[in-house]
Amino acid sequence: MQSSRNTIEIALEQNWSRLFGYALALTGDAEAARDLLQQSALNALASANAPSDRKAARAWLFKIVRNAWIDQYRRQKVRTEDDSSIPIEDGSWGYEDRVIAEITVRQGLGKIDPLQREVIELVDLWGFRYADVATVLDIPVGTVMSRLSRARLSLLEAIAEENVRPMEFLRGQRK
Amino acid sequence: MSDSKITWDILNAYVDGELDRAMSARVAAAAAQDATLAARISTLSKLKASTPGPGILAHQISPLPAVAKRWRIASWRTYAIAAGLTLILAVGTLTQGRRIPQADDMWLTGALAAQRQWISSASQNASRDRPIVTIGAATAARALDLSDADLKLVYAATMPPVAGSEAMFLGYRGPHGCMVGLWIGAPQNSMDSTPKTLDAGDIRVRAWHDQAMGYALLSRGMDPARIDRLAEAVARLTDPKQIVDDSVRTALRDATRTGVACRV
Repeated sequence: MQSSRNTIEIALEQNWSRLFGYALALTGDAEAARDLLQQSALNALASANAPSDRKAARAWLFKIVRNAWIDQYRRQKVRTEDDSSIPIEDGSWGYEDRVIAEITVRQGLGKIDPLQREVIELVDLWGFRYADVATVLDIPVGTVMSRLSRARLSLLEAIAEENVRPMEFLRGQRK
Repeated sequence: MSDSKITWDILNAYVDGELDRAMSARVAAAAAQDATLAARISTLSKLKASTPGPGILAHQISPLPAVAKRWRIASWRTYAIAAGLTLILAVGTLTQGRRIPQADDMWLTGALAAQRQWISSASQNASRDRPIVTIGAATAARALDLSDADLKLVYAATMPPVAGSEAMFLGYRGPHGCMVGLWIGAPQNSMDSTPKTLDAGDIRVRAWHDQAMGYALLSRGMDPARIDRLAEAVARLTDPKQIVDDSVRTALRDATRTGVACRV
């Protein structure tokens, strides 16, 4: 137990700013993120089920933050169902790479379902492997895979619908 | 598409480096022959690379809690030593076993103020306690796990020094909102080795000490019989000579069934 406690303390130190970023992404408010992180640190250090493996501890801490967020902020709103089990048909879609830029992706992320946004951010922003995301979200790895692929499709669709275009693209159109 | 089994899910996993070597090679080979597939991989790669950061400003991040010097404990049974050591290491001003002769009423004043401040801050925002915590404090709190008494740690604060001695205040909530405070600091002359009643106004206080530390349990609205039983159980929990076995946990559970429910 002492070993896992030290592991969690070290993991908290090493991931503090990332955990804050995650809390901020979940809450959308800096003060709420600070409160959430404090509560999460308490929960993590008080947990009897903390992992002793340092690598596992990172994903576990993200999970603790997420669970605390669910407890505090949106217990009534968390969806228990998603559309991950519905297969994506192999259509003939295609997207214009030139419209994909940080600004359009940011706007697109703001438009898609929070559950989808979350899985994209865990993989692409926080750099988690699918297995780690499965730990954070407490879902099977296969569900992570399907949820992520649907999320990216939704994101591409949201970007395609956006009016905002990156500057390079606008310059190209003027020519 | 030259390989009809390469689905959108698989393309995503390919871009994320989640496929094994054989499957990865298969996707790469298929993309070499299929411009549509290659375009989708390009799109996904660019999408992945364009995910913006969280946009955190440095001043927004709450400071990393100061980590008290780590200490070793063999098991949960030595919780009281751990709590004492943590306080000593985190605060650095306590002298084990030394009583603080002039501060007897001051420690109680501080403990009562902490309890009232916690109640006040919680009532202003009923949905949230606002814990002020250091990792060292939380670690000490972990050692004082009162979950067997249905009390969840929700608040932790270090207290300003009184007569050169600092202390810590932990706040626990029951399932129906009952707020129980636990003051931990230096042993005081007004304390005995078993819980002693030191009620002040509307707040019930039970205080005791062991060889190294002083403790006080505080609650407003808790049945006197219940806080007596709870204090006895917590005193056993904090006694370094006490073996924490099922009987201690049972005592904690029994305390919650003693007297009438807490009035919040």
